[in-house]
This record gives sequence, structure tokens and C-alpha cells, in this order.
Amino acid sequence: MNRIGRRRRWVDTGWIMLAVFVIATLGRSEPSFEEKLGSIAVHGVVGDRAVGRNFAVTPGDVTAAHAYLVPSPRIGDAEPVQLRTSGIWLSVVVETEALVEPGYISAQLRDGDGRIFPAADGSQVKLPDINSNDRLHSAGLPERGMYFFEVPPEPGGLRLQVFWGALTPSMMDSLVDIDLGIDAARAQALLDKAEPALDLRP
Amino acid sequence: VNAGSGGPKGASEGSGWWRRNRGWLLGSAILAIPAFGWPLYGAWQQYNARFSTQPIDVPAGQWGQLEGARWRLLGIERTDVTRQAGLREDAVVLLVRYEVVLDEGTSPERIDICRGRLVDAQGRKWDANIPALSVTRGELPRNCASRWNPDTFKTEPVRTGEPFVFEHAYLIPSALPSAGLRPGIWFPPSADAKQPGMFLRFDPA
Repeated sequence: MNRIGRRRRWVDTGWIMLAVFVIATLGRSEPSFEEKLGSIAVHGVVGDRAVGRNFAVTPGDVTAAHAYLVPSPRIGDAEPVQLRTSGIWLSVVVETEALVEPGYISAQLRDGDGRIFPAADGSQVKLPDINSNDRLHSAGLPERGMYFFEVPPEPGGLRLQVFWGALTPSMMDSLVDIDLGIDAARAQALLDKAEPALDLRP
Repeated sequence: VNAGSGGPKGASEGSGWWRRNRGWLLGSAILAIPAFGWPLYGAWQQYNARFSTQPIDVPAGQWGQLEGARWRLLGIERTDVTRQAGLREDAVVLLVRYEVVLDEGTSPERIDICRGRLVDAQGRKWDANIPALSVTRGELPRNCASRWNPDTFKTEPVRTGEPFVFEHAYLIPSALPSAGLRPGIWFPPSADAKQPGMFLRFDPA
């Protein structure tokens, strides 16, 4: 009885050690917090329609400018307001569509270093008919417009990220991620073509 | 019975353990039902109250009861005023008319915050009276229990028991067929909701 009991204890110890080993191995290959709860990336291409959970986006041309001319917020003021920046303004033409329910579709730029630049809202670029960031989308009614970004003077490796809602990308929701293909040469070409003051008045 | 298997003694001890602890196992199983079920039920109720997911189906021409008032769908009109109003041309305006009668003791302020929601056969949703549609304002009020009086320059609440006709305007794609569209009335979540989570779903017939 004593001998059987001792052998039994060794067998149990073996099982426990095996269990600890399995738990440790599985724990190491466990998906990270980001992978479990972060945004779900949907990759898109410039010019093609990319479809997220409840919205679709077709990104188009990118344009750079050193300043924007927008209508004055004061009524009856014909003189435009100049929006200056120490970096540059980038605008991306987009067609956005809500597929299921009404809501807002927002965007941000992510550069090669992982820095995030959210699209300018109406408090910065007040163009309700052009700025897609402030537009209330209705299901099935695609909207043409632009997202405006204020970025440092030498942008590199920019990715356009489009998401549902008015704030930041939601956890466990789709984030349409589009490589804008802006390498050093393309960035220089954009900067060469950048207008000193791009007139956005309707 | 266990002869021939690796450890006859171990096997019989194993089944003995289940038998000996039968009472505890049964007790744990019974306790587990409310322990998991109660929070799930609470979360389910909160979700319903927040998004108004529980429909009260109202057959064509009938009255439906919601939040201390009875509601009736009078009709749906499809208009193409978008061009005159300067709205997008690939859309039409759908006007949904309702009649509401407040019960005794229901405050018009409470009913006035009602919202409209239109759902198509695929489950896509549209909100009533989006800001872009304010340019298409007709003669009927778009609030659920108050009307603007141009003589006194005041918004006057409806009186209890008095029938009140109002409309909800929707901007929908012109390609969307009218068949299968179901208009509804719901209320934003509130602590004094009488039927939290419920909404009226009308059958246009």
C-alpha cells in the first residue's frame, strides 16, 4: 500500500509538471491584447473600394498644399481665411458610404514611425460640403468628399486609416488601412506640386 | 468490470469520487445557473434599453401603445422634392405620417422626444429628420407632441387626449423599393421609461 501510494504521488507530480509546461507554452503563444481586442485591419488599395463591417471607402488622389483658403466664418465677409501650417496640408479624395445604419466615417494618417494624424474636423477646415470627416452618412447614399490632414513637412510611409464613428478607431471593429504609396520620390513630387495657398472655396 | 485496463483500482476510485461528491456537484450546478444567468440577464436588459431592440408590431391601421400614448400610422408618401430643395438627386424624401393620443397623466415633454427609424427588408436603418432635411419642412410638425405656433412665436405642447398628427421625413436612396420598408417609433434611453427597450414597428400594408 505504501509503495503504491508513493508511486501514485510520482505519477501525480508528473501530470502536474506536464500541465504547468502546457500552460506556459500556450501562454507564450497567446494572442496579445491588441490582437484580441484591437481594431481589425482591412487592407485596401488606392482607387479600389474597400469594405469594412458597416462602411465602404474608395480612396483617390492625394494633394499637398502649404495653406488652404476657406470661406470666412463671419457672415457677409467675402475675404477668405488662410489656414497656415508649419508642416504641410495633405488632402485625400474619398468616396465614403455607410452600408447599414446612419453615422460618421472618420480617418487618420499613420506615418512610418507610427505617429497618428487625425483628419481635420469642422473646427479646423469648415467646409461642410467637402470635408467628409463631419458628414452624417445615410445608409446606401455614397458621399464624395475629402479628408484633410496637417502633417510634418517631410511625410513618409503614410497609410490612410478609415474607421466608423466620430472619435478614434473602435476596439474589435474594422479599420480600413490603405498604403498611400508615398515614398521619398513621391513625397518630393507632392511637395514640388504643392500650391502656396490652395483655394477650397465652393 | 475494469479488469484488463491499466489501473483497475484507480478507475473505480475515480467513479467513486463522482458518486461520493454527487451532492456537492449537484449543488454547484444549481448555484451556477443564477451565478452566470443573472449578470447575463442584466446585460441583456441593459442592451435592450440602450438600443431599443424589442419590437411591438402594430398591424396596418391599428393603434399601438408605447410610453403612455397610443400611436397609429396614417400613411407613407414618397416625394421627389430633393431637386427643388437642393438635396442630392439620387435620393428621395419619404414622409411618414402618424397620429398620437396621449393617455391621462402622460407628459407631452416625454412624448415629444420620440425618434423615428426606418428599416428596410435587409435590415438597413435610416434616422428620421436628419439635419439636411430641415429644408424640406412641410405643414405638419415633425415633433411628436408639440407644434410651432406662428402667431405666438412659441412651441405649444399637445393636450392630453387630443389627437395629434405629425410626420417623420427620411432621406433614402431612390433605388430603394417602398415594399418592405417598416417605419418605427422609439425613445432614447431614459430612467423614467415605462417600457424600456421597446419600440413600435408599424406594418404599412
